[in-house]
Amino acid sequence: MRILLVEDDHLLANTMLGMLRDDHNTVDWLDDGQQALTAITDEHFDLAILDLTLPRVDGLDILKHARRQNVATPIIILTARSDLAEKLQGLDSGADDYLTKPFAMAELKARIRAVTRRASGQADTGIKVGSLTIDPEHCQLRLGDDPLTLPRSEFQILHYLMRHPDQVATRRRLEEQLYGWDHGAESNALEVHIHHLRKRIGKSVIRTVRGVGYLLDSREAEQVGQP
Amino acid sequence: MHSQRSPSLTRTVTLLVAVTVLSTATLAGIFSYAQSNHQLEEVFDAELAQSTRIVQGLVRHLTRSQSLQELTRTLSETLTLPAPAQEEGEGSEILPDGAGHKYEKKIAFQIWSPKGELLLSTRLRNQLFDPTPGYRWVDYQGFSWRTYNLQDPATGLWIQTAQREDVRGELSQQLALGNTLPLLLVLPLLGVAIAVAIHWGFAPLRRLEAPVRDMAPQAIHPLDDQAAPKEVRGLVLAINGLLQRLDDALGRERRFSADAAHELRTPLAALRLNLERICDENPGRYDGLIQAVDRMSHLVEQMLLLSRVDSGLDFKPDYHNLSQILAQSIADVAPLALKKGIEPELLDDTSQAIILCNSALVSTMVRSLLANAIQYSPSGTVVSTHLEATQDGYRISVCDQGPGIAAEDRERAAGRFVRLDQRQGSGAGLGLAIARRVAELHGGSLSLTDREDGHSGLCVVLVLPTKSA
Repeated sequence: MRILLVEDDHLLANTMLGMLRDDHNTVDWLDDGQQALTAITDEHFDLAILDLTLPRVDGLDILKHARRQNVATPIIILTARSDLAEKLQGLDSGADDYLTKPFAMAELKARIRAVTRRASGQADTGIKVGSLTIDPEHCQLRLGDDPLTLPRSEFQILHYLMRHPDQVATRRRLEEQLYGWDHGAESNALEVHIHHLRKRIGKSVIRTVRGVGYLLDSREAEQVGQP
Repeated sequence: MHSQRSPSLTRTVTLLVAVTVLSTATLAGIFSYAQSNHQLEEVFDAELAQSTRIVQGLVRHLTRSQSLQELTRTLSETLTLPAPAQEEGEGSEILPDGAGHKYEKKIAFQIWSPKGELLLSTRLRNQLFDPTPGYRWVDYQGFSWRTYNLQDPATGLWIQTAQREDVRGELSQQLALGNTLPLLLVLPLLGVAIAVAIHWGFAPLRRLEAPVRDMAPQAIHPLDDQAAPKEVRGLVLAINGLLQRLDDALGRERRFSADAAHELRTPLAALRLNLERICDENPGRYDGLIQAVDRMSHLVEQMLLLSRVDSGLDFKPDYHNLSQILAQSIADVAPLALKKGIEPELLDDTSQAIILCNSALVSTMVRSLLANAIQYSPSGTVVSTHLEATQDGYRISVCDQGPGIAAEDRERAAGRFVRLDQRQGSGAGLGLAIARRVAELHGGSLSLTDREDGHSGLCVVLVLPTKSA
């Protein structure tokens, strides 16, 4: 994969270059905003990692300019500022994801995988958590080898939980997945769906955080379907 | 800066003007009273002399044709007073039917022969004959009398007229009071008018206060010096200078926070990645290093956050659903808790907890409290967050089942860089300080208490008003 790294801190950039190259990527590095602007619009990259604070041209301006020029390259922004407004501004300006410094390389790599997978149009295909695999095209769940077609609501809930394993999805978040913002569903509809899902895949896979929401436990998901 | 009794300009000026006006008016009143009294005395004396001369004229005329006995009778008839019933009558001083004047009666006279025999007397029975002409004060029957003596050169008769002092006094007092009373009545009204006028006059000063009071640190603007009264324009210009410097300083602080964030985080990122690499190559040997860097990163985050909430610069509140903020905050930290075998829960007693707040800060605050609770809780326990409505806001309590904090240490625990037990936890000791500061920014409060159910554990209670102060 050809990656463009735009980072003006040489120490950090050199470290990242080394680690990204270890994974057999071709990485080009620029430390100047103006050069980055030209490179991102004129050349093809599979991914760009863009620091927001850059000499000459600001990272956000590069991002906006690139998107105006219809550059479809997935872009992950690196920011040293933790304030939410800037992150949101970055995402609104067309970034695919953002990462706050300092970060773990494993996290950056996970984001790179997610972003490039989404960009290549396979975003929703074959998500696998432990022994659970789901196929969004056919609303199918596979437990080990048995395919099982799920009702739409149950599928949407499971799909969301599997996209965010080991993270708590609030009830509101799940209800939004089901009904959009203007949901008028009776309040225990979500519980009913979760109840059915648990019957299918095992009680312990979906954990309840009382009063908050649900979580898909990836370790429990490993055990599913095994005797 | 704070004196116990700060001087009020309005009060001082009102007091000074009122005292000046009132004392001047009082002096004028006293003077006018004294003057009226004196003038009346003169008039009365002149009147007395005039009456004496009239009696003299009558006596001279009558003695030519009448004997003294006849004269006495004639004078008694003409000069005796009207009906005694009228004597103490109030109301109009002019007697009915043109009978005369109320004050007439109080004028008396007597006539002596040149040898000192009393020939005639009205009212006065003053046997003490004093053959000296002119005015005198005489005491008689418990009253003080003003007398005027005159000897008729043609007949040699002594004629004395007299008037009771209390009558004169009553009259002159009434007249003098009549002159000064309106002034006395007007004085209180004048006092009120002065107070109102001065209050009104100081209104421009009070108008200057509002823009300063309502000025937010993130929107500092100069005061309108053109609208300020001339007397305080210098002060307003000086305040504008101060505001400008304050704005510059706050701007520098804002930039410093942002720059410091960038300058610290970037090398930390490089450090962490390099360590990761070393650790990958030498599994297990340098694990402590990454933990140390993570802890330092956390400390940097906390310090930057604290400096931001301290300055209150990012504080832009908006209406948010507190239930949702809490649910999302708990969802954010729940994986960490579950990993430690701790179960987080939310007990939400509200339906629509809408509150004016900065959602990012409130969420940071709640996550910080939860992280604390999780850190000090043993495995297999519950960290419970309870949201309740209060009279003018909401009460959030985060309770754990950990060891708790002794009552005497609780205030200290919310201080900065305080970790009561250095062996436990890996925080920076800033979590509670940040949470308290965020609560204060919202006009709320944070306190540490025991669990209500009597079990061991700590409850952190946050009180947030619906609308931040």
